[in-house]
Amino acid sequence: MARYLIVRAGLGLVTIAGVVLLTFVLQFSLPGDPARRIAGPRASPEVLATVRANLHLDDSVPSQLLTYVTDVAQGDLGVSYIRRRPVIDLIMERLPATAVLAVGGLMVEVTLGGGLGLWDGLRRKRSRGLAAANVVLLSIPTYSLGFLLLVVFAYRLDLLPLGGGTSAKELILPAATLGLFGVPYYAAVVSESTRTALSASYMRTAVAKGLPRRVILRRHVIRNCLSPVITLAGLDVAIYLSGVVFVESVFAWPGIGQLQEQAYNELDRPLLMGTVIVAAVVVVAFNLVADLVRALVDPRARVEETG
Amino acid sequence: MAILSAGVLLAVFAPIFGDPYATPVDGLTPTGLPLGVLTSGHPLGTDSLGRDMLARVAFGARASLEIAFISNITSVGLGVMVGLVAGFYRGWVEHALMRITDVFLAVPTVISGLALASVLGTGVIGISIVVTALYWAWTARVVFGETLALRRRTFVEAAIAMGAPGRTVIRRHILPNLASLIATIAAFNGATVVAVGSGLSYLGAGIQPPTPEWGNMLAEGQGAIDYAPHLLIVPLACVVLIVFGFVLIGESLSRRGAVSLQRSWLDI
Amino acid sequence: MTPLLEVERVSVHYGSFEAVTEASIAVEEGSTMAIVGESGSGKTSLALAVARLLPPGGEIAAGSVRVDGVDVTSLAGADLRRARGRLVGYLAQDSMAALNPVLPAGLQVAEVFATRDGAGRRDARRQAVELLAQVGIQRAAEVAAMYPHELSGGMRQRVMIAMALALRSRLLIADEPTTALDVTVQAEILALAAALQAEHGVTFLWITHDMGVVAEIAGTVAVMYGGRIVEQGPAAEVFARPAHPYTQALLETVRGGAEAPPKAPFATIAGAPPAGFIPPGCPFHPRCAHVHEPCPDIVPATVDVGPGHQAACHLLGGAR
Repeated sequence: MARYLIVRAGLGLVTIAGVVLLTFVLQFSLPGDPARRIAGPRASPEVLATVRANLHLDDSVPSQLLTYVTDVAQGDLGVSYIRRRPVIDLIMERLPATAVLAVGGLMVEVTLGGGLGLWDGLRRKRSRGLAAANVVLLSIPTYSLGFLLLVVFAYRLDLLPLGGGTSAKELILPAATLGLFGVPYYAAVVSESTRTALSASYMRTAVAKGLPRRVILRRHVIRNCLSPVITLAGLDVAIYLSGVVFVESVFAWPGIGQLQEQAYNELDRPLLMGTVIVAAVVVVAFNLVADLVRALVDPRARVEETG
Repeated sequence: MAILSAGVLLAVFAPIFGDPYATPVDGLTPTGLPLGVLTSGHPLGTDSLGRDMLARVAFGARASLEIAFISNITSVGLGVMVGLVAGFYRGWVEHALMRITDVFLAVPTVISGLALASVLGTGVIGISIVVTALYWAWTARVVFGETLALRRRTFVEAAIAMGAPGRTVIRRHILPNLASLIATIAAFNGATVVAVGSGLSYLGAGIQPPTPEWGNMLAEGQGAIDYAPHLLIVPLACVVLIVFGFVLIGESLSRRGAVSLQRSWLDI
Repeated sequence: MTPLLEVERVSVHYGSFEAVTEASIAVEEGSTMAIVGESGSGKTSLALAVARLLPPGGEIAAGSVRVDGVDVTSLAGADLRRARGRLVGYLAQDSMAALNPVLPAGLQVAEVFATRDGAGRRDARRQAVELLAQVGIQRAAEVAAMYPHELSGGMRQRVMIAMALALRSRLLIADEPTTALDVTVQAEILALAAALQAEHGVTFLWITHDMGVVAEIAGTVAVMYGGRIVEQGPAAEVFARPAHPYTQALLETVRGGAEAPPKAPFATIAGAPPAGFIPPGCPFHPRCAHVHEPCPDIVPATVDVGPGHQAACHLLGGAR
């Protein structure tokens, strides 16, 4: 199993390297002179030259790439054009807030989605109501859902705060919005794997042993559902995190999503790219963790897979 | 289900010949406030600048759907090609292509979408490229998995053993079996693409005002929720309906494939 | 002495399809009865009916099954659950599918002790390991921690047997447990079964299509065709004096190989067993070499042809 994880970690590193390469291309091979942006429109040619030297803009492309990669590897993601602070600091300040939000939403997703899926899987016929609700949930864009929830619960009904801070109470709506979007997927996966487990041959064995229903469910059924859920969570992370931008925007949650949006509006390239890299690292790390957890839960996954 | 796929088509055709209004119709600006729905001459009311909502929505449909269709076709097309080639030819081709796919799958879509948009600019083409770049990898991964599975099937191995050239085997054996999967992917991808395209515009990264597009109309509408809720509701309803249509198509397609008559052992 | 298992005129239906029609057998405690037949003969359905493990969609349409005096057919709900395992144990053919892939083998045996006896986790595990050793698994403690896909077919089958033993069922139904195993392992499992019977007095109902297996372990045998029992009796009797044309043909296919001169053609039974549709009258009549007038229309009655030996064939006289 250790070998399996090392291989996955290695692949993850390759992936991150690819992302870094991509951001390099995007950041440096485009119109717009970074030096001028940093120095300001009225800078003298000498200042410009100094800035250019600092940014190594006059070096050859491969050499710039090398500098970039080594910088990134050391955690130096450049300096924000507008805010004049290291990008990495800006991101790290905001990351915890987003992490909290993400975890909250994930819990909503998994428990609500899993619970609904289990309920549906145990029924004789698939629940039409659940299927319809799923479709509706999938159709509403994240930002609108968030906005509507905000309006209804915070504005009109005055039940929950309007946001801007990071208190636990203020977490409820954004986490719910983020999570609700993923509920249909989890519900579908859990429902399907529950049905598969219930109709499998080993289920007949369990019944033949005279095991009580609760034991069967807890031990035999649920454990067989965990693996697909974890796989889904891993694959879902990238898309899930993207919802973060919308949610943070609507609820004024001070995380990296909001940071990215501001960076876009300010055309702050280093910040934009830096966030991309950090996000990629998070996704890869999460996938690795998911792989680890899955290997623990489902022994079949420990066998080397090809492709 | 079939009904809403017709609805999708309808939305496509309506703007093209339905509403030849110039977008910034200096319409009737009432006492500074937009007109509500069902006012004569403006069935969907007007916006805060007096422009007719119906026209804006119709043109917005054009923009949103253009992006959606272009992105959908290119992303699914690219994804299928990559997944197919990687899954079929295996070896280093597979490794190389799959690593590239991984890279694109690793970054959260909107975050990198904003980054890309800052580089590629706004406008239909720009946004289409961005969305394509974000979503082709998903299709590629799924198609790759399925191609792998298909390739192991006996009839494919038989064809290869008989010496049939790769391209023929793909064309005759693999593609037809992938067809229904691709259709399902295209449907769900279409839904996603519409949502993301509007989403980017909502954030200010896509089509810019004054050009109407459902996403930026949504952003405007949010601000006006107090005095003119229809500014939000109208474009929202459009987006929801279109996405809904795609999702329904996708659902019905996917259900046609898997008919599982599984029965639970707990029932005996 | 009352037989441990009494099956009286049981019919099993899946919807409108009759998989088993009016089957009656009796098995004495501590003995082994083999039910032999080709695929589609209804033997598995009969076995599942006895174990009350018919899949959803199947039902015991007629007749009764009594195990140790208890009418199993009328049990339901909590009574049924309590009776499961305690009265009848079921050993499935596909051990890979019958074991839960995400649970260690030992746990699947131990949970019997935990639920039925209320044993604590450590105690249950200890008993499970002991049982695994008893069924011939080397290094039982290690194996107990392993998962089904890590074990060989033979070991998996032993785990299944251990599970059945843990249940201490009065009757053990073995549904072709050796069919998927290679010949040497098959011999080991059969030996194990014989040993268990000798030491613990386990009663077996052994389902198989292999006459060789029957010859090796069965005390009594019932031959099934097309959902009906066409012949049954002590194994030695039936082998020596097969009364039904089908039984005769079956034995011919097995014997012909060893005794016939080299290059003699294999003896076969022409035609194919019924699938989805059972012929009227005697189900074997389309393939029978001795078919004559009443066969396609009238179901033959079961008559005695020897001590404890019965068969149903018009040739034996006594039509309905």
